[in-house]
Amino acid sequence: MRDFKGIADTWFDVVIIGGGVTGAGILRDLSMRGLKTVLFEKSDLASGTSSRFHGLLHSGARYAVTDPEAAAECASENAVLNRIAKYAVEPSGGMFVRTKNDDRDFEERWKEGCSASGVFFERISAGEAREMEPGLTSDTESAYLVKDCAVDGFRLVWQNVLSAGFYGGDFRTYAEVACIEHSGGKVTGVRVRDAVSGEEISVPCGCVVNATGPWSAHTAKLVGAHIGIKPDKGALLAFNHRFCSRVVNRLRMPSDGDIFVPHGSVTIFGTTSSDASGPDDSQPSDAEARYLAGLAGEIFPEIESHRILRAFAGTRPLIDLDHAHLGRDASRNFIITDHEKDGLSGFITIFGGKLTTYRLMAEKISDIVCGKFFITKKCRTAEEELLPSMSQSLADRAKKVFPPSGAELIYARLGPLFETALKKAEADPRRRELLCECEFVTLAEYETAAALDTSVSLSDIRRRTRMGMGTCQGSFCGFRALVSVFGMGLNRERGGAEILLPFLNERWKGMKPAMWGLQMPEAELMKNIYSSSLNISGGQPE
Amino acid sequence: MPPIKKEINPDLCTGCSACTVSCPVAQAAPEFPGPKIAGPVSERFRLSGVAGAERISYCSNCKNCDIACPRGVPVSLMTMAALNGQDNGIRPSLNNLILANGPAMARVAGIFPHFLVKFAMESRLSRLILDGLGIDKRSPLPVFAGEYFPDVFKKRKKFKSDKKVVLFSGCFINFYDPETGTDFVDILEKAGYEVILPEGLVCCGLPMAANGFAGKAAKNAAVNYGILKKYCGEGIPVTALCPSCALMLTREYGEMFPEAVSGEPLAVADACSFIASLMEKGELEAREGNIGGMSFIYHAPCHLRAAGDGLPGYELLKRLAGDAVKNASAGCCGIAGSYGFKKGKYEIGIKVGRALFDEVKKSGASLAVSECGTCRVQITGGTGVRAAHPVSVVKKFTVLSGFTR
Repeated sequence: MRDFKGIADTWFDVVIIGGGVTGAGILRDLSMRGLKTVLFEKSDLASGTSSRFHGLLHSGARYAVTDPEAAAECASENAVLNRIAKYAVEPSGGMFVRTKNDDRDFEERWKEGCSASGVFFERISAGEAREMEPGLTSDTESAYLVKDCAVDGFRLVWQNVLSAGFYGGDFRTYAEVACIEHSGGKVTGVRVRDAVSGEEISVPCGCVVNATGPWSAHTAKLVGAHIGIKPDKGALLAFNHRFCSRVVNRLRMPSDGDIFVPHGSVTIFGTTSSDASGPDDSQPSDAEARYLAGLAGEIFPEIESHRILRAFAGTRPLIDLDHAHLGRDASRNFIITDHEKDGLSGFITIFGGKLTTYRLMAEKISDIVCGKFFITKKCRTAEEELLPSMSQSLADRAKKVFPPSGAELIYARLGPLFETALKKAEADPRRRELLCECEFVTLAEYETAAALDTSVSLSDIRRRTRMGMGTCQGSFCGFRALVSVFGMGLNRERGGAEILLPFLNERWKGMKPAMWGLQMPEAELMKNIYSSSLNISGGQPE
Repeated sequence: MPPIKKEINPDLCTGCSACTVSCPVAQAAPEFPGPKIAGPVSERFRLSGVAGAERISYCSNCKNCDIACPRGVPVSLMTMAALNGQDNGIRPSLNNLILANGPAMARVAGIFPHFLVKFAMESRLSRLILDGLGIDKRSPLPVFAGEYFPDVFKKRKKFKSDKKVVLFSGCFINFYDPETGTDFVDILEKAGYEVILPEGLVCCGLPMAANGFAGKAAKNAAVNYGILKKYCGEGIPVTALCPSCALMLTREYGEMFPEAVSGEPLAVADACSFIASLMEKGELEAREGNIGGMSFIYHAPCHLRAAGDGLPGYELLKRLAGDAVKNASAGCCGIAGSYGFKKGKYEIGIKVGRALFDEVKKSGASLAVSECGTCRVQITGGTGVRAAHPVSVVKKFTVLSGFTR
């Protein structure tokens, strides 16, 4: 939602800051328990850490040695998400592979760790592993099957927010919390700035939850509080196609470049770990991209023949324990700080953690928040599906206008808005055409997403539909999207270049660090399409 | 069914759409999303288990996409592999079964007297029955020959020579057009070559793969490869009259069925390029003959262009008949093997072939010339102009004077 005036001076029990998966999960949990809650996100939902990761829904196996408690939490949450989030989770399964270059002893410790934490694993022979994943290196010595899955961060966040909406949960995007108001040591409300118009509104509330991940310290500073957090940059590569059919992990002490996640139409590979200059540091370097490509080749030797679409990076909210001096209210894996001890009642920060355990984190903090409001209702987020199954009548109608295999995909992306797109496609056969061919986005789906008030930029539509995230990286769909925006009469106040350039620059940002080999001709094509037709070229400094 | 085995990497495709722009079917039929979407784009989704195979049966496998692609993406191969995939939700229909199994049909027809076969195949009733089975009653279905080419060849007076050449005659010559086969054998013998028609050769498999029976095609590939490899190994040249058979034998066996055809790819010479090489070597003399005021319009089959070895048939005719030969240069004829015979595809085939038909009619040529048998059928069906293989035209200049069709 983007209507700010409608909530000005309206009381909310709880204000959540941060539209990542943690904030979205808390919004859902609190709304289901009956608290009047609103979420403010300074940019678009899932535009930060929740989408800038490898898309792995951990089975827990990766933490079996280094963090048994996190491993156990991942194992149980993995099962929960497979149950409640089938439209965001791809139950691909996973595999751990030890090559002859990796430490044998670690394998034993890993097996013990998995058993101790209740993490499922099943030994298979190296030959079986290579039969299941034909691209695997012949250096494979041992392999295990685990319950890893792929999870779509964009969809997971949106589906949480939309599910919360069913229970009255509200949200605003491009809504920057400029100030947290308090008096007498108690939070009284927030001032929120519309990042598009610059206008500010006041929203009175009883409690503010800081769920801004790597930005937590910045948010806490609004009230002069200190958070021990260190943003840590993780770089990843997105490959143009799936070259493995399940998640492939390297079985060794967790290190750089251990994880391959086949995800929708692409494969994501990562990650690295290095000090980030700040929470917004999401630009991977050429060196990082090359370093990662080299590591990928150690597991899939034919990696050179696979095209890298782009490199991207996210910042993890790593807990800086040396500087934190914080009590541990929850698991080791995430920290909840009630700033009441700093003398401010009604302000709580949650940070650390991982996407796989977002629901558990939301449950824990919601328990604390509910306690403040004397609400005893139990958490039900693990029981109810985020997005109910598509009804048979919708499926039957969709079959007539969308390719049968595409209908589920569109439903997963649009959720409750699916029927809007369906009606568009039913009314006009031209709207069944693909606007984005690489990711199968029909004009009907695109227009449905574009018409939302949350779609301030083309990138917002991209996050909602995956438009522009495939092979051509926007070479063709960017152009069509612009035409469509004008055709719909949206964004009248902005010129074409103004609408298109931020989208193209975002694409170039990822293409540039990995621009060699098979991606080079694509980049040339893209550059020539836009420079010859609109006299604009991407990759300009922002 | 063993699907087409080669791991197909869609990464070469930049999405430039040159293939879709060059696709005759995409232009004629809005139902077809075009080769880019049917091939590399959908391939990424097929890899994720989302079939994305809808509407791809509109692909005629003419391979103009492969010709157009600036990046060497095996576009048609991806589409054909998907048509043959196990999880694509497409089950071959009855017309696929019939059109994929020409030789079996021919064997059945061979039991009956030819006049009966001819009557039965041309009668309105049987066309209605075939129409019901999915073969459009308006399509120019050819009639089985009275005597099949291998039998004609067997009855022929044996010509023995140290110089030998193997002929892969192909189903069209074998069952519909033995005269063309005989013309070619006449030329080869004139040049002093003993023609070997190896026992045991089967259909090249292309109609099977294109109709969703890749497993059967793989078996045929193994059989043909085994037989022909032996001759290639002995240095005996292999020639083919049909460009589609030749493309299948030389290139597509390796791409589609690497396990069935382990080893060197086969070397198969196009019939006309083999004739040209005989003339180069002085083994065959060709003089400009009396063409009696005839003029020829040449149509280059798509699969000949896809092979990328030029237009040897057209070059040969040019050499022998000069200005009496004109190249139609009008793209696909629309038949694409068995495609244009199918119900629901017949109209598309006719629409695709329109430009060629217009060109043929406009030329006023007395004979259309093309290497591909079904192209010839389609051209005659679309224009009423008779059509012949270039070797039949060449024969008039080199061996016999009584060339009539």
